[in-house]
Amino acid sequence: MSREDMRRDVSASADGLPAELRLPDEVGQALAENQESLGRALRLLGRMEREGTLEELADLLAIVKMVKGALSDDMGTGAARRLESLGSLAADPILNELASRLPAALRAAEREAANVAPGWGGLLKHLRDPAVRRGLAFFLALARHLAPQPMTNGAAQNESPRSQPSPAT
Amino acid sequence: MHDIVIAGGGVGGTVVANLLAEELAPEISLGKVRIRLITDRPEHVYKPAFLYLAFGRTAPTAYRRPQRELLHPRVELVVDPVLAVDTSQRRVIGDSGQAYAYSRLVLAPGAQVVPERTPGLAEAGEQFYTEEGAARLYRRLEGFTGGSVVVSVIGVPHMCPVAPLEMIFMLDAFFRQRGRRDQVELIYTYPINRVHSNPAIAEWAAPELESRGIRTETFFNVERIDPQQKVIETLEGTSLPFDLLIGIPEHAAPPFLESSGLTDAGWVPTDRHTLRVKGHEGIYALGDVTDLPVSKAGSVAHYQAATVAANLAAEVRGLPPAARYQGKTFCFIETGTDQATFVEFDYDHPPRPVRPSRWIHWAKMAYNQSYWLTARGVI
Repeated sequence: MSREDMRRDVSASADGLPAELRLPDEVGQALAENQESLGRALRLLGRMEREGTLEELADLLAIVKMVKGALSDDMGTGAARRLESLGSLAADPILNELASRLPAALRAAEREAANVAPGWGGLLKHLRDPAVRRGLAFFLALARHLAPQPMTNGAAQNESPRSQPSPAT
Repeated sequence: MHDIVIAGGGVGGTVVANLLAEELAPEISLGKVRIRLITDRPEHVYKPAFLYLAFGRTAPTAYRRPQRELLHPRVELVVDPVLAVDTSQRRVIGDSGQAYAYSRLVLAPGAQVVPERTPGLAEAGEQFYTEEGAARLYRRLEGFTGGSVVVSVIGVPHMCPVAPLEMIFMLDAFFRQRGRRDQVELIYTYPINRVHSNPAIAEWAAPELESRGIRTETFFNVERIDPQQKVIETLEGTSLPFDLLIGIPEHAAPPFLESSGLTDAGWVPTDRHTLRVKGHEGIYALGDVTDLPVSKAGSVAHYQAATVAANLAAEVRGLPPAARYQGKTFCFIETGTDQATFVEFDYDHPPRPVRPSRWIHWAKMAYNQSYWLTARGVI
């Protein structure tokens, strides 16, 4: 059946029906133009309905409605800010380079630590190793730069007036 | 120096404090702003867990966290129950006798249950709005073999407006799973002419109740309970016998608010959009203590916290407070022990509950676990 034939059939089948039951012309046109796709879609819908997956899909889509309903502009902005922070960390070439060395370093340390007898002699021997000295220098520098800036307003100083007087009036 | 004092360590107070600490980090570091959260206990409790506690489905380790762990390090924590607010001197007085000066105050102490306002309720009724009450109800339910169970909404407004519906749906599932449903008559009562104050939720809930064989009584205003006879008597002149009564008691704002002149008809008069307390400069209110026509629910306090924090931050920076709360509310509704739906609405848009599903129940379970991120202001 050609598209024009189908459009005529749809129109003709509506003859005699009250106006409120007739499909608008543009709907008949759309049906005619998409008859193959609609046929496939209806068969798919029928199959999904028989298998119960259509109902599951509708329930799953309710989750989308739920997430949209639960979110607010502030929450979206906050989440984006945190993602941006994480993304900046992930994109940092120095951090990436460090992170790529870390697994091998951890595995080697775990392996070697099992064979090292503790003691001052062993410690001094390791301190003469240039690689260990570079590592120590790295950790000392890290400690210096990790130190928090002194805060003028001491947060975490005050837990409770019963345990520690609070600056009040 | 801006001294921001937050009275209350529930979800609203905690989220406001954390959002402010993040937003005003530069000002706090420079000593221009101080944020203090004053609360009556060192632990933060996730109250919605009490519904599950009543069925033995959660434990204190799951719903309690040290308040300090949830607060940004820039927020000072003060554990000192608030006794009064002296608005003329702009200071909060604690139980310790300490006074805490403020330039801006946030009232977020939550609501309390007052079962003693209904004669006989405290003696004869169970409830799940406190930890002790939920634990006691759990013991009663485990030993309940048959008879009539009445879930009666006595006080309106109350915390978590859908919780009584959740309770009756979960009771239905609980007794079915134990093979005792046919020995138990479930009855749900509500004071107005429908099963919930929100018409859309009532319209959804009525057939859900009916399909489970749950009897409903509307226009049911409890006047007193006779603990000896185990009978509820109503203002309408009817009476209803029970074997187990789960009553939703009247709620009230903490007494210090009324004695400090901060309430009107029991609640704090609050501007519905700016969340400023009416008639008091520099004071905001959020959560259960406001007189707003919104649910007394954690989600409401959470959404309101963003508005209050944004407005306070603007004021600290000398800008006009532009954030507006639009009545946004979101609530999960458990419809059994493995199905749930949800509602979301605001001042202008009514809720449209969706078909209950296991997916939404899982989402609710996942949210319960991730609540601590909400309190920290992360989600």
